[in-house]
Amino acid sequence: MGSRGRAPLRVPAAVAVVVALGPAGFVAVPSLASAADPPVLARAPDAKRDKDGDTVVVTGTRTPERMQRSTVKTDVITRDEADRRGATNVAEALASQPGLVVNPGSYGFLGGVSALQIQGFDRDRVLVLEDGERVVGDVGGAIDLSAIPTGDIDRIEVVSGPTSALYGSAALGGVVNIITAPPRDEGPTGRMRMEGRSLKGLVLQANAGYRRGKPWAAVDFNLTRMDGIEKPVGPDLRLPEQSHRMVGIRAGTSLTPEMDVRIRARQFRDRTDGLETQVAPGLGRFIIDTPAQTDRYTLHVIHTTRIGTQGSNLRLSMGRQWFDNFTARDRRDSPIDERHDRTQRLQSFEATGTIADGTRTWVAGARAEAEHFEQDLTRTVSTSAGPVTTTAPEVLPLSYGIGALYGQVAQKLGNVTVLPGVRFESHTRYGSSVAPRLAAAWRITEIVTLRASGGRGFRAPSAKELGLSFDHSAFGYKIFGNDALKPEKSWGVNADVTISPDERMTFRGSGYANSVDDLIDLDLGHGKNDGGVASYSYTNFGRARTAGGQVDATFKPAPFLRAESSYAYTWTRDDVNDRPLPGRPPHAVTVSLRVEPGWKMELYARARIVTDAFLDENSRAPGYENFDVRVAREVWAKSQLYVGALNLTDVKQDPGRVGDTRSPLGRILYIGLKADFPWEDE
Amino acid sequence: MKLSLSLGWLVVPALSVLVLGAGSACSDSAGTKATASSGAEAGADADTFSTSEELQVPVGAGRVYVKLASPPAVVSPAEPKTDKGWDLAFEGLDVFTNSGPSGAGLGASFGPLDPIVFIDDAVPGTPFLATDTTGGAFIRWWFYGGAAANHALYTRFHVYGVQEGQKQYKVQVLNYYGVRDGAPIAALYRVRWAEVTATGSGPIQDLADLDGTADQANAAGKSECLDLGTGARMMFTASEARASSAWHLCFRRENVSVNGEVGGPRGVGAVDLDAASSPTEKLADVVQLTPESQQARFDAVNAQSLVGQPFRGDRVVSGFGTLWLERGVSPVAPAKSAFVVRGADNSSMYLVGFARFDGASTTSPGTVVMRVKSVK
Repeated sequence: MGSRGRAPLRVPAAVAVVVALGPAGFVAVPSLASAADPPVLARAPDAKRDKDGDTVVVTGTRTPERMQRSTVKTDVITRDEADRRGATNVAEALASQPGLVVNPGSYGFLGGVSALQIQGFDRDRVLVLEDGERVVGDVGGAIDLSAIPTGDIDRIEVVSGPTSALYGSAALGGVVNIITAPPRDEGPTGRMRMEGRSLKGLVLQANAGYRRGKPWAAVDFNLTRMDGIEKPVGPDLRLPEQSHRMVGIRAGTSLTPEMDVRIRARQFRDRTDGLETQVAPGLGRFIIDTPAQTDRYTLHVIHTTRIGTQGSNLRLSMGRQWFDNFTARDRRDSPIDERHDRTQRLQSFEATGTIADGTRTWVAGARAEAEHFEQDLTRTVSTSAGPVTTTAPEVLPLSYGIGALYGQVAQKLGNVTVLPGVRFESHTRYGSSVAPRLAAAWRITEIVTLRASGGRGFRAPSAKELGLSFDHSAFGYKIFGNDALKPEKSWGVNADVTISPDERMTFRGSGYANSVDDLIDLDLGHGKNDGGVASYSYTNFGRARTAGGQVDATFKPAPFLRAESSYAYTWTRDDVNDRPLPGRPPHAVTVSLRVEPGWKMELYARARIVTDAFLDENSRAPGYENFDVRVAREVWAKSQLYVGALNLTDVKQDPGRVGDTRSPLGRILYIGLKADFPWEDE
Repeated sequence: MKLSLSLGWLVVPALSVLVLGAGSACSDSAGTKATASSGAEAGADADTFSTSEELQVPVGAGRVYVKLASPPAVVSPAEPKTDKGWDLAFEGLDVFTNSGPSGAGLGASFGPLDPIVFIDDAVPGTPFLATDTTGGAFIRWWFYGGAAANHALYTRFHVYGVQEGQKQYKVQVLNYYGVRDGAPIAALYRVRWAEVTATGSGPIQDLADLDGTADQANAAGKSECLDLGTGARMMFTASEARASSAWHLCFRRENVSVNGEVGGPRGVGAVDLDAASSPTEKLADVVQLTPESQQARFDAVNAQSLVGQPFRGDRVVSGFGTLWLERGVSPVAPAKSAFVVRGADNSSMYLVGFARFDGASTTSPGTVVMRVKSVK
């Protein structure tokens, strides 16, 4: 992809001024940006980058900064880069990102849930945002990143380390912010991607937008599907048939010269259809369908008022999310079934003020959330009197509210930017949490930047941990939630140094350490025995530490060649059991190479080596190597015809092997066409 | 983060009585045959136990309680049924943990293991730990298929002798599963039985869908009981069954109760006539067995087969079972083996071995000289 249409951008570090598209062209305007509202910068798809390819990021500080000079280290995966990686969803886009580990299907949900590890933390200890808004609807504590398509995203930002000072609960390991953007071109625009994949896979992504000055609107559509994979001895499916659908509308306009409003609504439907059989001794084989379906709706309205001409603004946002999910076991030709229904609702209101005050930029905000969760089990059992159907809560219906106040100030002192911040959060269930953070960036020379940050993270008890009611008396145990749980709390420090001798190369080294207390888990050591049935409950009793480092190097020795390499090390310790945390691979190496040899072609190869990981005293998760390749050629302006292979060497999970984090799919071949409209070259 | 909840992990304790069957197989690898004489170091090599503490337990009339935390000691709990201050109890040739019907604690056990495990300070790997439960001759009637077999229970097709006074029967469990409402239902038993007479056998009766689906923990749940003499079927709660003389066998989940001793007042006893084959049975072989292929085994049992058999009612059994005793020696002697014991507090873990019995007889070990080691 060329660089035509890019506009040069120079954004001073930690100063909240961005370049926006106005009727008269590119003008400097006060910042409208926040973690939920990416800046509009230029016309071309990569226009959020400056001529050095440096990307503007917002997640680490809630103010726009150039990635290379940001006060808090932020990694970015653009939509183009996600496409090069052959990704159709966020899980695939992040799967080979240095410093991250995506565990596909490692949480037992039909092989479908893909969850993320950052700095040794996973599941609900990593916060997932869409345009700055928390995503609800976890399965087993994990937001399924494979259910979030890349069809309408602009980029994904990843901030590692405790970030609760800005975002509250769950930001212990880090934050993933999936960001969309308005159309950048005047008039009608569009984007499409059509792709065929192995396993009868189909990818259809389409976006249509229209901008006329300030008003704009966009429609997004995403559909992906693939067949299930049979076990070696069928007809049982090792992986279910899957389909993911997303429809969204986005629109924005200016109400007055100082006021903008933006609205975004999306609907997701994720469906899996599994099949398993049960062989009963002496009776033969019985077929059980195992469907699962999630419907998620999001609605957000964002209102921004510019104050003065120095970059100050007030941003108000309101949001609501609906999450409805079921998983079922449906016996064929029998009423003896069971179905789990989960319902979650989240309403939020947030006001964030940004005040540009010379060398200082203040950010202060308040957020209120109301959330409701319930989970029921409907089960039909066979009795001597006939089938009996009962519905009972598995998680007691829970409603709770959260109020939060937060603030930070970015003070620029010559080449040093200091960024203290704190968040106070009050929860109707467990009381309050305070999460401070101090970050600093020192541009030592033109080519060397040093950054460090330290702060507190916390994770609120989940609805399941508070209210689970799981009765397996038949097997001798029950599990209950605990209404008296406290949040998990962590301290973490991060530091990194970036060296950019010239435009052709960048080196970066980083390190981190975290300590977390009051980890919530089932306390199997203090069960209660009642009539031969043991009762266990969640309690705050765990302690753990994680530490690690990463070195990255990027080379661009020629305009047609870009190479990246990275090594990441992760160390973890479960201080209660005096052993590593399970499923954390200690070493990972990632290498990628992008070549534009001419003839409008682009070649891309990416390799990742992950070492084996501790599971328990007797077993380890196997290491693996993944090798992805992609060849693309421009067919007409702003279009690409491409073919590629993910996991070329066909590394895949052993069916039934617990903790195996290798790909459940094996090798995937794909061929597709993508294009941006208008077609005419500029 | 520390403990990822695996339901399968927790299913295992409920199936813990499997230890008795599996344990017999393990005992074959426990070492050379021990000396049977009292007073000798019959259990294990002294060096193997060198890092453990010795405890002498005089087992006489009544139950003797032991705590295993250092220093291990014989204790006298005021209310043994509710006291969590003891971890093991000895009575006759039985060893109990503080769990299930034996006590209010969360104790459990697994074994036998090779005494070499005493060398390490860590809990040796075990497939599960067994809590105490009630059971009799039928306690090993099934073979657990494990996760690979969808946790199914397969009948071993053993033939059991059942005796009530002068009446004798032979019983074979044909299936643990039945079809109801289009689904395979666990604990819908199919059994066949016949009266054993001096001249042969009475008519063979084959009965399916005996309803043992009531949960063990559901005190109000009724399960089906069977009178072998009349073929009468009746539904009882667990407590009703223990007070009733109307039945010979009761079916409740994977347990088949016998109406004798703690099982009920009728004085019924039973014996597993194929118990000797249990240690060598393998899942791959068991799943091939069918009611038809095992008809001959059933038919072969006659009055002579039941002569001299140790008929017994239901008793409380632990993971120790009879596995802590050397087989086939008189007076009794300890097996050369080790056991993992979880304390009543559900968190302390111990290795237990038996060095020798002083003053043993055929019905009592006398003074048990045991070794105890706390492990992490």
